[in-house]
Amino acid sequence: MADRRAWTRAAAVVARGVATAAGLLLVASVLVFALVRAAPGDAVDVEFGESGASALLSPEEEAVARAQRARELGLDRGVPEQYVRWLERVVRLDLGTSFRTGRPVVDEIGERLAASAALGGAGFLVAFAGAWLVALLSARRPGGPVDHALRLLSLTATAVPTFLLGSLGLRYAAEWVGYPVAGEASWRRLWLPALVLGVGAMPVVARLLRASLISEYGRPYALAARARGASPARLTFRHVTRPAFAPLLTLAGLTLSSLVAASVITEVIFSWPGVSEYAVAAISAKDYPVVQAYLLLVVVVVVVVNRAVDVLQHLLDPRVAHAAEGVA
Amino acid sequence: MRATRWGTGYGLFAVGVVLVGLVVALAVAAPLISRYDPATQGVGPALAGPSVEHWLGTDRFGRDLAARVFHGGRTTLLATAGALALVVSVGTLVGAAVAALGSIVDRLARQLFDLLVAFPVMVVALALVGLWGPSLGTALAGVLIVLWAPFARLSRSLVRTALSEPSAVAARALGAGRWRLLRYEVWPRLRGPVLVLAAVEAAQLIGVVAGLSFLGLGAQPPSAEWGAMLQEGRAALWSAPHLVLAPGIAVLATVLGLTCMAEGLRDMLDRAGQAVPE
Amino acid sequence: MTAPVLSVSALTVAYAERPVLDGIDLDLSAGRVHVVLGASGSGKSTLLRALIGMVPAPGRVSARRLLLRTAGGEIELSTPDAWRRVHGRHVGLIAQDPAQALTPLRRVASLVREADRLAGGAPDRVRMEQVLRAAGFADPGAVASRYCFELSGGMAQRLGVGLAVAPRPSVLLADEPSTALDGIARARLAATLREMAGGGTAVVLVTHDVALATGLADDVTVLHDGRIVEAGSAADVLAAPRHEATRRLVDGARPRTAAAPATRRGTGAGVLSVRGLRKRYRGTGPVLDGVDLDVADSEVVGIAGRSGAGKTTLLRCLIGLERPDGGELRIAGRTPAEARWRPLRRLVQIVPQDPRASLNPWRTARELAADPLDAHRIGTRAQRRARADELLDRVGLAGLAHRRPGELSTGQCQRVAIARALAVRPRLLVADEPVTALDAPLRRGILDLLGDLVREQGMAALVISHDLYVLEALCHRIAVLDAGRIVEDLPAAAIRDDGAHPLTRALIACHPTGEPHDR
Repeated sequence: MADRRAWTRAAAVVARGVATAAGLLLVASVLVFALVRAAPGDAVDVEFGESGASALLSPEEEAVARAQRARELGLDRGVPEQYVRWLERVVRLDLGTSFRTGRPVVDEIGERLAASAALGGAGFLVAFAGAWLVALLSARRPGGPVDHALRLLSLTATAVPTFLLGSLGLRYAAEWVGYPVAGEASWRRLWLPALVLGVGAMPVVARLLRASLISEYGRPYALAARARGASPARLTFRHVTRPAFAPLLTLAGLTLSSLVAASVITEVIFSWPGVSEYAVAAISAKDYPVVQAYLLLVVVVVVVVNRAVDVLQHLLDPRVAHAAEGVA
Repeated sequence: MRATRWGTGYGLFAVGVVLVGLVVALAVAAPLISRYDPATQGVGPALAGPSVEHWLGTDRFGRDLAARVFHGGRTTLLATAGALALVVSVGTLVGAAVAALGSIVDRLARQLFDLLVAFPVMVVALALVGLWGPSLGTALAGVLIVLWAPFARLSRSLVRTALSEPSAVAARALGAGRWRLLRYEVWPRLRGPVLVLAAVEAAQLIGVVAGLSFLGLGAQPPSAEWGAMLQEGRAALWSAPHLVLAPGIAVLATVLGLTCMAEGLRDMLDRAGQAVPE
Repeated sequence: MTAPVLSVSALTVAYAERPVLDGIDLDLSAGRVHVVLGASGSGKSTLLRALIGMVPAPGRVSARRLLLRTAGGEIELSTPDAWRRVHGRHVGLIAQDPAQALTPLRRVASLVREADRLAGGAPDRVRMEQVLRAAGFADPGAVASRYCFELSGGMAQRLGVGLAVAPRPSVLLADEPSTALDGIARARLAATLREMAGGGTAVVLVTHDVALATGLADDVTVLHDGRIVEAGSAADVLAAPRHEATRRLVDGARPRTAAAPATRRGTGAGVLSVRGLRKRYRGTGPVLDGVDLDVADSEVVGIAGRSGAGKTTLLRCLIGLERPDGGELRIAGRTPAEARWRPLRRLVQIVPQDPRASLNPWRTARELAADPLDAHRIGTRAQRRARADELLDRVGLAGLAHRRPGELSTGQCQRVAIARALAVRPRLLVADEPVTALDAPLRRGILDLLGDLVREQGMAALVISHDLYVLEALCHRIAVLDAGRIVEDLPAAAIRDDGAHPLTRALIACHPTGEPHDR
């Protein structure tokens, strides 16, 4: 009976998550379309490159081909219709071909997705594992020497720019431990960029987790649990952890965005064959279809992950669900 | 007691102010401090290390690195300050307006804020640069498109909580009108957290702009801007790491100062019973 | 006489050199209820924490002796390890606010089992259900799988008490029952404590509430400024207090029968008229279910009721913070629809529940008192300031006009709130739980002030409280609210004799008249 109710609620939460994600993606697609359209150069430029860039066609031939393609793409129609057609193509994953390689953008990006995901995932693990450790150590005695030292460390870690940490890290790791500067994506090459990514994202998470832990330790229920004989470890892991984790899930979503941003620089510095590195190279070469595809990819990842985190939070912390329904 | 003073956040805030103040002072007084012109080539030997003559050494073209770092601060700091002023004011006003309008507008706007806040500033700036071509202006425009959202979200939630505080409810029940509530109940609860967020976002802004320039997508050489200098130095990372270190440490000092200010201020507000939402 | 279960001698707790508790000696005997009485700031909360071995971080504890005698031998409680061995087995704690004292994201069954295991038992389903049944849950199966945060206040209290009581500890500590609990829940707690003492447990209750102590205590220790100022049997200490601090606590709790105002009926339409007021929130039953209420000019009406009866919602509707779903509300003969709220708010002013939180912390007492005058643009600036100073003088805050709420005590904050409510000379004053946030010794003064001011200014007043003594001290007439309806409406003088509704009787039972008595 209670189980069935729980399942129904979970299904409703998931359904609502999917619906909001769809809505947000639609809104985001309008924003991206507006951005792409407002840029100098239109969809034809996106395919042909800037005027005169084509080496295969004479200027006259190119002009004819451009006009024909413009009609095909519906650029002579109104803006709303253009948007609908554009969206159709995006949904079909028809994102054009790269100028530089002549291959479909989707394939090019698809090949690099795994490397980026591996780096992002490893960075995420480093950030959260580190944050846990730091928070647990500092929350044991707030204001104590360990707390102060860790805080100083966190402040510095926040302030060190990714490019500085990355380039110096690369240089000295290569010199001292023979870190392979170039090459394929491999475990031997993963740890350093993952560390750079993780260290950057860790302080924010650690600070929130620390504050959350301290406030939960101070609550009457923690006192009551201790009075019933709970050991410090039991108190931390069986009583305090789950409530303390609730605000953290939201943060996990936001951490994603800082990881994506930092991975742009990290991938370039470490020549990591991921999506961001590819996008930066494309931007320098004015490879428009790649830029657009990259933007769309990040939009989808950010929206989906954030919604997923939201759904997860509702499932893990039923209090949120209650509050949302106005029952609490 | 020392621990208590640190605990109040006052010391941390002071350290931040001093650091940022130092960086700003060096940038403002650049022509007075350094004898060299940042753009003149060959004032010293190429790629020399730090010396009495050239405090931070020289770059590939024999330009004085110290002069370039100090002058470069002007571009970076001015651009940051201008962009920040814009996003803080626009964001805060939009957030407050949304909170005041309430109901459906509020719910939709909240979703939009959440989306924009979750979106990496760096990627938007990258996309803009990719579509319009690399320049400092384009990179900044990309940052501006999304960076107002955190302020809007913060101010929306603060205005809403402020209006439901017992003191605001009491003031309303006793007859206070909208402007009185804004002036006495909302504004004091808004200013501190907004300042904290402004410091946090200023640090992010500087990091993003420098990062873009580092990739060759922001300010373009030969202009003396920290990011552009970093990009130039990157090529010589192995032979002359001081080319990266000098502007890198300038960025580090500024960001560290801003972060200390934000953290210290956050602690002070915490003490006063005003928590800053993430 | 047998040796005490817990002997404490020369217990001192200090924060940064400043002692909060100084040289406390205490012997707790099996089968007796020992009440530690003290105002807030007396150190009684710290004493409770010290007796359970959990003084918060920077505090330093020292004691000549902290000795627990159990069936298995004596335990010297000098190390955290020693404390951990006795927690949950020999020493139990009942926390102040039951709803806050349960790990929110654990299920009831899991919490019960854990407590059993920590107390040395081998938990199974049968034992778990036993504990729940003993805690007063008729159907343990129904509650076992629920999350703790889903429990109502009453259920949370039963579970919290049940968990503490189940291992039959030799010492049971109870923190002052929260003001969030209504009288009936407090009475239930008192009964449990008595029962545990009857079973041979040494019970300690820490409180400022003399009324609660009176009905319960065998021994009383009075704490003041971190020292024991008086100790002895309950009968001696409470009936004939020798120390000033004890006297103030006892006086503050006693009903002020002498001043109870005579019944009076005003004439005309009256200042407030409510007919069939209804309100329901999304997802709940009706909170207000047809409330009828009249307040005549110069009449003081009290509204009594348990928490959750709809008192707060009624108040919010009366001052326009909440829009009722139905029914009619007239202030000075006009409905809010006709007159709009702004001008009506000049006629009705409130003294909110939590004096400190309801004052803007950035403004001075004078600015706060003048605030309604500013808001309604009455008089010149100089006149407003003069009026504010005059009011602050009247409420006893002369010379404090420049202080902000952070620099005032809670009682002084309440005086500022009262001055503020009087500034525009309202026709109706609404006071929401005017003394609940205050310690017993301060209550008397605020009640006197309110009563005098209402009489002086000749205004009508509506007082909302769960405390019958408060209403008896101030009101001509008392209405009892239950489940969104007025179930009783009688002259204050007659309520004890003529009150017929079960809730009224229960309320009276929780607030006995007369002197503290021996049991």
